[in-house]
Amino acid sequence: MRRKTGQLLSIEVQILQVAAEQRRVRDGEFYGFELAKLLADHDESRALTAHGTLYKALGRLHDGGLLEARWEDAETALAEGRPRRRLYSITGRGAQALATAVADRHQEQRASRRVGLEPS
Amino acid sequence: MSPRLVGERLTSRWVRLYSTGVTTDARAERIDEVASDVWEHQHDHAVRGIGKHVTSLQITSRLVCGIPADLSWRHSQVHTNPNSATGDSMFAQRLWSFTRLLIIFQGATLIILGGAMAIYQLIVMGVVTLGGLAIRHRYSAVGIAMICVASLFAASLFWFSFVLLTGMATLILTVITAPWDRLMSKGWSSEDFLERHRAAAVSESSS
Repeated sequence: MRRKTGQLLSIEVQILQVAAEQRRVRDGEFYGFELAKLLADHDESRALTAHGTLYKALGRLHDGGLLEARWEDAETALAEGRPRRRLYSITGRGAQALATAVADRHQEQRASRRVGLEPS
Repeated sequence: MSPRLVGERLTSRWVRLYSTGVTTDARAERIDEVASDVWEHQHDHAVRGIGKHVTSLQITSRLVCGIPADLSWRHSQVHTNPNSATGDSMFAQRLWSFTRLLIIFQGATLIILGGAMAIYQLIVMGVVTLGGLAIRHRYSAVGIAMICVASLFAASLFWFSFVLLTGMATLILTVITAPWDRLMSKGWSSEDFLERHRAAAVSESSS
């Protein structure tokens, strides 16, 4: 199914929700595997998001200016003996897009509830 | 090869394969990002005391489930690359080599497992897989159908996760590498998938 221009996919909304939450509770930056774990924790029944799905969605959000991305310092990674992480954080535009997506979803839910209540 | 390395190696090879022909920066970023993800996954499981087999299986599962998204990302990326047709031709050859290896692996695994566990259906499906590959060049539609049926069977073996994942991957890649646009025409063969991409590369370089 082709999506409407500017409309966020469900996985993109979930990523922005996690990103907004990360900004509230700590410095706001997160990396790919951490995000996969946070998404799985969010929805207990879900397995870790596939690499392809996760990084394609992150790439789209980054290209759309809804997320910022930077590679961490090589020295930090080297000191901890691991590969460099690509760190993401939500932008002001991303927070705005999330608020709009959540409001749209609530509006759709209210509308469908109203239709369901109408006498036949 | 240790079980931990299977998922890691498969993922590493797959990323390098599907990013062939994509711009150098995008390719390097994708390879580094997935390598970091796989490392963190292994490290996280090691810290939590989760077994290597489970880790390898989870990494492979994340790879297989992400194949359609990976190919869709690739498709959108190659259009930004001026040498996309040449890259596409190289990718087509590598993808078909990868798929052929996967088909052989699936066939051999089913036969070996069937023999070891005395389940003749597994042996039959292993033979169907390898038979499908053997005739794919001459009788493509029948060959592809045989591989798909055997892969569907393998993908339904929920009690043996690794065969299930191999079946899913083989099915997806067999369908992707099939030359659908020539399905109905006479003399349809597996070579066409590669020839189509080679022809695109030649026409782009001459124009």
